[in-house]
Amino acid sequence: MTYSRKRYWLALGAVLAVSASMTLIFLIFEPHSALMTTAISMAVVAVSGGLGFVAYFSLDEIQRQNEIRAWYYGGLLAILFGFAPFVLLMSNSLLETMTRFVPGASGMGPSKLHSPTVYFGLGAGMVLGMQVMGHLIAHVVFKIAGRARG
Amino acid sequence: MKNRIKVLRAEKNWSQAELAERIGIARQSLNAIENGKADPSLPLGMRIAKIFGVRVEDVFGEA
Repeated sequence: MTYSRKRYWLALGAVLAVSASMTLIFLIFEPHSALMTTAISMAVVAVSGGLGFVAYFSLDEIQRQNEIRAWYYGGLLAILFGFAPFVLLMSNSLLETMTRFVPGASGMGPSKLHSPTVYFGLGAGMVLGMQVMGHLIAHVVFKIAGRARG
Repeated sequence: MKNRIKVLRAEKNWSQAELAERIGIARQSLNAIENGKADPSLPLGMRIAKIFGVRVEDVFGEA
């Protein structure tokens, strides 16, 4: 696939549009059956993954090198400043994860529990979101470092 | 990696955008290669040399 700036932005925009619309569908249509949750997750992963590939292969080789570098360092940033302090602490402080240790009679348990797939999707989405944020931060750092070097 | 792209480009009177379009890469990528901030692959290096009508070592040798 040859370099095309237009195709890259179209594919990237479509990834965001598909993810946002699927999330909206998921939020609007309740209750969620396990089948619906799995079907939506698989659709999002398949379509976003496909479009992501199109976007990646629409870049030229130098841009791909930069993207790979940014995703690598972005991943490290996400683990250091996102995953470790945020996800681990949050998962240990949510009542949903503590529900089996909280006696039902105490009334402290969460009033509404979703299916495990929903929590898995939230966790996976959060990690992916942090990776995306980390990759954007890495791009900014590269740009600043490049300017500093002249 | 040092290269003579800037000189060869000036000889042909091409802008960065023009050359980038001929090679099939982004202008920013060409700028990075030209300034030695990024290294092209061998196929891309050969494509650049072919466009200028010179050998690869004439473009990417020690400047």
